[in-house]
Amino acid sequence: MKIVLSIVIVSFLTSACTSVNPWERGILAKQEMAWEPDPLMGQLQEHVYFSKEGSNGGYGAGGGGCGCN
Amino acid sequence: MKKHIHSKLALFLFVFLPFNVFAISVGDTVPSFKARTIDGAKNVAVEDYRGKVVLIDFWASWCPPCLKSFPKYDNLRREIGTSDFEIVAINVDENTDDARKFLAKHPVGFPIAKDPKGVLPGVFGVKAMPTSYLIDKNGVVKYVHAAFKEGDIEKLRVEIEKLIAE
Repeated sequence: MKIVLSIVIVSFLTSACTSVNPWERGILAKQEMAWEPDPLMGQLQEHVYFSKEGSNGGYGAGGGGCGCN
Repeated sequence: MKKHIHSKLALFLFVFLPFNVFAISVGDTVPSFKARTIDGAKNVAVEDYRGKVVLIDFWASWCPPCLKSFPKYDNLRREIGTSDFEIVAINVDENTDDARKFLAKHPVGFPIAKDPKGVLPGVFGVKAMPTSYLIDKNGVVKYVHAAFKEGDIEKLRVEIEKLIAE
């Protein structure tokens, strides 16, 4: 148990990950942080993809952004 | 064996439980705070408004729903009047100049405090932007509202009027 406890505590203290609070998302909310910062270019690329592949959807990803609802 | 499981569970909860489970919710007394106004001229303290119904609103210039909510809050404040009601908006922009630019474009009449280090949203346990807390005349939280959509202002008006009438 002591070993497990030590591993958990050390991994907790040395973790490089942290959660970003809703009020800390100013930089994430900037347009240049979007997956596709240029909406027009994004639409064009989607259209090209649709025309070439004959399939649609599956763009983007959840998470990120400003945390606004 | 059972004791072993309990200690593991306690450890898991200690490590992984988010800190904002201690968020301010309905029925809690509003934490005492003092924050500098955005122009740096004076302090805003929630105690200054004891005896009034107060809406504490956490906002940022980069938050699109905040842009929607601000003119509606300003209208609501004008319509209800400030004898029994006040809005205290707390800006959480890391760069307060962004908030100043926002306010130059979208001026409002209610007091605006700044908290660029994000201490107060941490104390309140804000989970989304914007979040507003409706406080009654005795300093008790009566309504917590996260986000802002069309129609929310009418729900809020009903709650405010109910608290003013108490």
